[in-house]
This record gives sequence, structure tokens and C-alpha cells, in this order.
Amino acid sequence: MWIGILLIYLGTHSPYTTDVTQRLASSSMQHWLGTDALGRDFLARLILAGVISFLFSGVTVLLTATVGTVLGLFAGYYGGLLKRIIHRIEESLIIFPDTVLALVLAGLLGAGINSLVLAILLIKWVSYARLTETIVSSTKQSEYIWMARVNGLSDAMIVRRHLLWTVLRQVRVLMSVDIGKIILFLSAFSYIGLGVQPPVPEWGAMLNEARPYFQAAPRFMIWPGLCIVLTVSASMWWNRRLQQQTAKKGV
Amino acid sequence: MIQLHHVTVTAPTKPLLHAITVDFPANQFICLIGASGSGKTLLLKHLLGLVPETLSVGGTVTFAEGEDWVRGREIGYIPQHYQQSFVPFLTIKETMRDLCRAHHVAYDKEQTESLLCSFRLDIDLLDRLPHQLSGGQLQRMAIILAVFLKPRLILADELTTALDPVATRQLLDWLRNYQQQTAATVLFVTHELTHALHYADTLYIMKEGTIIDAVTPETIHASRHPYTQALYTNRHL
Amino acid sequence: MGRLFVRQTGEALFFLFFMTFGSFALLRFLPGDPVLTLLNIDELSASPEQIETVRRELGFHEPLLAQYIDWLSRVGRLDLGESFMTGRPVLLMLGESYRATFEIAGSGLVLALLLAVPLGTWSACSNRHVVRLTADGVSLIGAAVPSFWIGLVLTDWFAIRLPWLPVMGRDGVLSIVLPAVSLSLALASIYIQLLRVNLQTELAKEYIQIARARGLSEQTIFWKYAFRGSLPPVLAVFTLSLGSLAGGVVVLEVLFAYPGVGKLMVDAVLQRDYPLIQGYILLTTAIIVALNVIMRLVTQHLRPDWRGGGMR
Repeated sequence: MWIGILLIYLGTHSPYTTDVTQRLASSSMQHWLGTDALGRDFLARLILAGVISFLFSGVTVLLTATVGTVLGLFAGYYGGLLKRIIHRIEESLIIFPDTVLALVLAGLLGAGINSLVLAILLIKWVSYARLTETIVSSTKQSEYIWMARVNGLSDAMIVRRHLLWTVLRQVRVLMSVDIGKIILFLSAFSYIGLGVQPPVPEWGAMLNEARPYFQAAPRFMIWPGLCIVLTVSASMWWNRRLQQQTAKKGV
Repeated sequence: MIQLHHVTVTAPTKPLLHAITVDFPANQFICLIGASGSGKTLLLKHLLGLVPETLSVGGTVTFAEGEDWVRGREIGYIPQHYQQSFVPFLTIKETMRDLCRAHHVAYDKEQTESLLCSFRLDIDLLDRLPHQLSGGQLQRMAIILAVFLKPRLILADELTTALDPVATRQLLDWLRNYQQQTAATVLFVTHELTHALHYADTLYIMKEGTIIDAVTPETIHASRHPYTQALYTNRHL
Repeated sequence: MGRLFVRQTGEALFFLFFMTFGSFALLRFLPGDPVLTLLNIDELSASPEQIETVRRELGFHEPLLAQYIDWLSRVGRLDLGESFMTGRPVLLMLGESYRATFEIAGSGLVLALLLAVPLGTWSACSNRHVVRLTADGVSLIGAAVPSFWIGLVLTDWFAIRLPWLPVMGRDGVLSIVLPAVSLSLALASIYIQLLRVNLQTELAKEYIQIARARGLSEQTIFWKYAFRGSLPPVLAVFTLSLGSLAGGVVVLEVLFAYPGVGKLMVDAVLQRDYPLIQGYILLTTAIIVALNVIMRLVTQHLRPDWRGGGMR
């Protein structure tokens, strides 16, 4: 419901139109949270920034989860050389911190969200791969697959039914917390100018843009930051709920 | 000698041990028999003073009159899961030293070595880490750790569950021997009546959180208690 | 034992080469002409001959491998080239910047540990509601609130409204305070959970119960056994965070205009200053690798029985 209201607001107020006559206006009926330094509607920009953050984060998480899960599935199910190769790659990557890699990639590929996505992808797939592999190898040996074989189901069906379902449920838990983390990551890099490029709004970038005006209009400092905090907290809360859910089902 | 008076242990939802009043005789090999869940292990834990804080405890336990028995020293504990009972990153010797230090006793090299000998264990094993020893070696080490401070009471928890008959006999023979030589009291928890009948001086039967009967191997067949009778008749299954 | 060490060092070195060569190659294949950046001109004002001359001077016409080997040999002589932006030696610039980063990162780390170690260990063994609440609360704030926002807010309060601390720049001890504090909360959050979870896992283990049954004191059990036992995964994540710090506390350095490695790199990235970027990759990777080797050695010493890795 809330989202609906916000989206309608976004629809009716353009986050991009600048109106120099209305610079730094405070809250009004027309602009619920006033305008920024270029006369753009502040709330609209906040909302759009939110949409973009979720899009970015959602896409990145899906990509990462997919790559990681697929690799983990292969490693766990087929084992052998493939597994060892994947492990080797994992071990070398795991020591590399994400911020540094993002910086490096930005340096090599240029600033922009592509580098960020790549950096996140390269680092985070490992978590998904390991999770998936653990589930697959332990389930491979578990009782009920043996029972299913005994009952005559084909191998392919066994995989599809039991494994995938278990894997997806666990992966979902990891994804929920990663969404928040990625949004934090995006906002930090956008703050320093290596993320979302202007004039596209993003909470971190907005904090950077409006810095000279914090004294005059503290809302520029408060709102974007608050949005980030709330979003990340929501992601963490969702993660906790999912964890409790899967714990109950005893996976 | 070891007197328990109205000992109870209760969980928030139900009583786990209730109305246990018994006087365990000294210098005997005592067996505690019962099904899983009858509270045998919990009773041992209570004697050690290690009941989890979430449970509430009542009643009194008196070891020999006026004496204070410390777990680890006067009370020795031989754990069921001996393999996980050692500190994984310390050598056996270091673990033993910690034990000595905790009880302000000097580490007696000779005594340790003679104990190792009597168990036919190589002295080198002391300098190894737990994961480098076999299961059997670890169990014997665990027993050594339990007895080398010369306890007056030895609590043994389901020691023979994973052992084959030969190993079982060796272990129980040793334990019985030790008990007789040192005049300690052994409280041996098991669910195998046949073992108990062979080695114990006295047997206490536990069911659903309380001690329902006390017999000796000679008198068990005459017990009036239906559960005891059932156990006795079905002991060879 | 020694064999494992040699193998790991070998792998570490290989990784180093891989990273530097990889970035070397990537840089050369990208759009955008580094020569133009160097000359700081656009295509119109220099003649093609001039550009070509410079290109030849810098060796850009050579095959990739040759260029790499040439770079490697210079590295061996501790010559990392000159920055495109300033013309100064890369090694020197990086050295200065690392010192600055160390100031912030070091203080932030110390503060974080001062906060996290007591809270983390205490909440692992205490049953009291207050302790858990505080620990969880701090963790939550540190995890959800971006450090640069904390920085902005703190600057607003303590540097502008109450002019106690400098707003930005590197200017004596006081200018470390705000960046370090902003950093510490996020770090502390990670460490608290790290310590707490791993300590609790360790405390639940059988050998701890048995140690109690054998009469060891709670103090001994907690510190000599549980704490030490829980260290391998703790150290692994800790080293990861150290590695991240080694790469520069990017956002905070930019915010506070503190001339650390992070800020330097942001500028280098925006200006496509290849020698600087290359040098940074080399040094940072080397530091990260070294930290990891040390971590593995320490873990090996503390828990000689330990095997296997954990999750990120």
C-alpha cells in the first residue's frame, strides 16, 4: 500500500526536471520533501533511487546466486576434477576483499555500475557455490535418495525433485541478506562517484551531491541515509525470518 | 555412603528426576540400569553438579560424612563419547597437565606412565593430538584421565555401547579389578542387564525418572517389582 | 608442515602474478588511450606524430608479454613507474598514502576491537538479557547504517555545530577521530557477531562439557579452551576485514579528504592513471596475500588439528 502511494508520487513528479527558480525549496504540497539544489523534486528522487537500488541489487543477487548455485551443483553432484578446480578458484578468490576488487575493476573497466556488478559477482558467487555444494554432497548420501532409487525413480527425477527444492530454500535465505549488503555497497560506491552516474539518483550519490547544503537543509542528510538504513534493516529482518522458517522445517 | 535425599530435577514442562532417595553403599561396583530416557545420565550429571541451568534442582546429596568431594578429583567421570572428550588442539599430556593444575596437584610422570603401561598404551601417545589416536586408545586414555587423581567415586556412562564383546569384557574386567584394588565406588550406567549381573555388587533399576528397585545379582530373580522381572526375563535378547 | 608452507607460498605468489598480469592485460585492451591521459590533452591539440613518439617511449607498441616482463623487472628494482597524474614515483605516492590509510584503519580497528571483544565474548557466555541486547544492538546499527553516513552525521555534530574536531583533512591527531569512529562501528558489528557465534558453537562442544566434568574452572575453560578453539573461523574473517582495510578505507577517506590509499585510487581510477593503478594492485595484493599466509600460520599453531575452510 505504502509502495503504491510512493509509486504514484513518482509517477506524477519527475525526478529529473530541474527548475532553477525553485532551488532548495522546503516541503510544500507540491513537493512533499522540497527540492534539491537543482530544483528537482527531492522525494521523487528518493523514491527513484530506491527503485534503482532494488533493481540493481535484485539483478546482481540473482546473477550471483545463479552462477554460484550452478557451479556448486556441478561441484557437489559430479565431484572429481570439476570440484577440485572450482575449489581452487574459490580458495584464491576468498581472500580478496570486495571493496578492493571493486576498486580494481573500476580502475580497469571504468567507473560505473557494470564494474560493481562484476566485482560483486566475482566475490559473492563463492558463498552460494559452497552452500549449494554442501547441501548437494550431504543429500547425495542421505537416506531418502537411496530409498527413491530403490523405488525405481530415475536419477534425473531424483535430482529435480529433492535437491533443487532444498537448495533453493537455503539459497533464498542467503539472498535475502545479500540484497541489503549489496545496497550498502552500491550506496558507498555511488557516494564516491564510482557507482551510479549522475543524473541518475541514488541514495549514496545524493548524500554526496547535497553535502554543501546540509547546514541549510538537514533533510538532505537525513533522508537518504535513513532510506539506506531502513532498507538494509528490512533485508536483515527478512533474512532472520527466513532463517527461522527453514530452521523449523529442519532442512 | 553416598546419600541422596529427595533429589529432583525438573524441566519447565515436566519432572525429569523425582523423589530419588537412596543410599549407595561404599566400595562397591554398582550398576544403574534402565531404558533410555529413564534419567540415568541425568542422575550422573547431578552427582557431578553439572545439571544445565535451565533445569531446577532439589534435594540433597551427601558424599561421605563431612567431606567435600570435588568433581574431577574425588569424583571421576568416564564419558560415553570418549572421542570428543579431549581438547582437540592440545596433546594428551597437555590436557593431563591442565587437569593437574586445576586440582593443584603436581603432574606425576611415573604414575602416568605406569597407568599407560597397564593399559598397554605407548608412552609416545602422550605427545600426540587426539585426532592422531585410534578410538580404542582414546577410550583408554579417557579412563586414565578419570582415574589418575585416585577418585573415591567413579561414574561411568554407557561405556560399552560401541564395543564388541571381547573389548567389553576387557574393559569391565579392568574396571572391576580397579574398583576392588582401590576400594573406590563405581557407579556404572548401562542398559545391558547381562553385563550388570556379571560384574555388579548391587543393581539399581531406574524407570521414568526414579529408582524403582534395588537388587543384587543373587536376589534379582526374586524381585517383586514387575519391571525388574520383565527386565530379568528378557535379559538375553 | 614445511611442505604445506612452501605450497601455500607458491600458490600465493602465483596468485600475485595472476592478478598483476591480468590487470596489466586488461588495461592494455581497453578503450581509451592512456597516452592521452598522460599528456593530459585531447586528441585535437597534439599531432599524431607526437602521440606516437610518446607511445613508443612508453613501450606501448611492444607485445603484451614483453611489456609485462619489462614492468616486472622494473618492479624488481623497486621502480613502479611514475604516476600519470602527478609525475611522481608511484612507489613514493603509494607509500605516503598507505601511511595515511594505516592511521585511520589502525585507529578504527583498535576502537572496534575495544568495543567488540568485550561485547562479543561476554554475550557468548552470559545469560543476561542486557548483555545480549547491547551486543545485538551495536551489531545491528553497525551492519545497517552505512559508515559514511555516520561520518556525515558525526561531522555535522562535532565539527560544524560544535567545532571541536576538524571537518576534513589530515592535520594532527584530532583529524583521525571522526574517520576512526565512523569506521569502528561497522567493523565492531562484524566482530561482535563473529566472536559470539563462534564462541557459542565452541562452548557447546563435548570436550568443553567433559572438561567441566573433570573439574576445570570456568575461566580456564572459556579462555584456554573455548576461545582458542573458536579462533580459526574468527581469524579467517578477521583477516578478510584486514585485507579490505589494506585496500584503503575508500569511502571514509573520500568523505574526510584524508589522503589515504583509497582516496588516491578513486582519483587514479577517474583519471585512468595506469601506473598508479598497477602499482596499487601489486602492493595491495601482496599485502593481502601476506596477511593470509600469516593467518594460516597462526591458525596452524593455535589449532594444529584444524582443517578446512569456512564460508564467507
